[in-house]
Amino acid sequence: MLGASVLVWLLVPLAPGDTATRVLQARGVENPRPVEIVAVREELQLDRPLITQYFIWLNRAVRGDLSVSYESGKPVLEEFAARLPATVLLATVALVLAILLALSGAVASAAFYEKFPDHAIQFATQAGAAMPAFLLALLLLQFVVVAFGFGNVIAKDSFSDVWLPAVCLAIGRAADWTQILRANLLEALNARFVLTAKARGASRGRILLLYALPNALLPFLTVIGIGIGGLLGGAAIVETVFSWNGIGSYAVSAIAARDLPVVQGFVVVSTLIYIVSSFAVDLIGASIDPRLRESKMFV
Amino acid sequence: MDNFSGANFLLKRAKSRRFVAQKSARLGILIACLLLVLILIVPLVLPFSPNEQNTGEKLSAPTLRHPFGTDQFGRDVLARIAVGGQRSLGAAAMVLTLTLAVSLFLGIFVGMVGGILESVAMRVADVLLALPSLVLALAVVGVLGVGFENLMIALVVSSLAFYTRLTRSYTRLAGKRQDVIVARLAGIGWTRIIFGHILPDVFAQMLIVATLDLGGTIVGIAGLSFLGLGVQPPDAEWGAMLNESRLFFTTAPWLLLAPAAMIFLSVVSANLIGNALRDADAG
Repeated sequence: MLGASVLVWLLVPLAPGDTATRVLQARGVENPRPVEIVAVREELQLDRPLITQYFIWLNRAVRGDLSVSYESGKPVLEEFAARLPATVLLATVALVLAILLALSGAVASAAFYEKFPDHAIQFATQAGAAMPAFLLALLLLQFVVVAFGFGNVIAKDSFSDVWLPAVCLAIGRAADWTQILRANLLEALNARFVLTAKARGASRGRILLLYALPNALLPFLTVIGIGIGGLLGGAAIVETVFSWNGIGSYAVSAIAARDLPVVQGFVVVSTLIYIVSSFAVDLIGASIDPRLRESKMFV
Repeated sequence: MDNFSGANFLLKRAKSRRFVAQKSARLGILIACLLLVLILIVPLVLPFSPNEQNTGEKLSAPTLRHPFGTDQFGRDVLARIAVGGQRSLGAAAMVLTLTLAVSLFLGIFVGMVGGILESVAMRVADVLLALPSLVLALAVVGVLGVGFENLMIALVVSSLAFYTRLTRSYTRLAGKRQDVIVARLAGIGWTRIIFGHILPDVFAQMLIVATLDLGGTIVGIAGLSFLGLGVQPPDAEWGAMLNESRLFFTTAPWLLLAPAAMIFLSVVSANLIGNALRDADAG
């Protein structure tokens, strides 16, 4: 975490060009005079050694001060706090959707292994994995929203509008996860305890859902933890297509405007979400499987 | 030595047979060939250049003269698709080549030297891996500014940590192989061991990883360009073309469908080939 903070902080001094000049230009001064540049340098303590600058930044960052946006002049944290609920709503719906799709797809695939439904699902996952979220978003906008008048082209960050962007965000994950979970399930179905269960007369459905599935779910959980990172990055693109006012679309417009504190804030916020959510996934895993409890998870 | 290389040759032949034997591999190669013909040969025979404007034929639907229609400036979409494909796929290949080269150098170097250098490098990689890769790529573009080169640098940077980590662990595994130990006992110098024994093995493994990643890289390039963070107008690129098509999607859907189909097909083809390579290698 501390290492990540160094990296994030380095974004600003590493950027080409003079920071003070950029700040002034963002504030609307086209050709700043040297006096003004010196004043801004002093204001932002840019004349201190880099190490000192880092600790000043870290000290303020841990207290929730991510400095102010060049563009709007408002505190970056405020800007993100206002947009975070929209992104969390979108990402959560997408996550639940992806998990449900992957679960049902993989179970159906394993139940009809090497038969028609399995082939159909395999084909669908190949197609889904090759369909980037922004492409799906455009096609959905074109052929669902415009052609049938279903939903809104410009989403209004509300629960009723979340479905289309969430589907776009979910499909790619769902396709990947279905393939992984299907492989896990097939492996679990070859285990000895399945043979025992069969010998004792358990039904096929019972074996699949009560014996194989729980064993296949554990490695799947780790995959979900990693996938949340992809979801966060993908949200930036989907949010932009649907004009969804979340942290992702905000960051994309900040990048275009070279508003570095906002870009920095975006990395801080998404990394925090990513670390916290993968930690939560680890905890869930530990609570399900006693074997993981004693491992070096907390190191 | 002779015996060893003979066995190696047989193994390679078995692997390439297993690769070609898969239906998905052949389908992937077929799509890839068609795409390559489209983006490399079509521009040579087409009478239009990609940035040539023709105000008389704005937003014309697909015709014999313009099989993919024309855009808002009367530019031929087929020509733009072909040149855009050279840019999209060329950039994807370039990103992966650069990532591979840098990570092979770093990973093998760090893996062979070991010690503190290795631990430090791996901690740095851990830190980079804590950031979701697309978020990292966005951050790098944010720092360097918008542009196609910067976008490519961003994608290289964002995947470097993962690749270097993997190269290093393959290097360590290769260092324990019998032929490497025998070579060391025979007093062969490190450079020759690295270039003759370790590099070819690690490179082959990493090439499979890179092929599996090709689809994702194409999506990354198109996605970031689509956001307007890559190629700047008037240059054609599939992601950027998609972005421009949004303004006209009710009147000219072919502007959307052509690049969409191209991205989809190239990713399908890359995924099919990558998965088949992996399965052939695993046996």
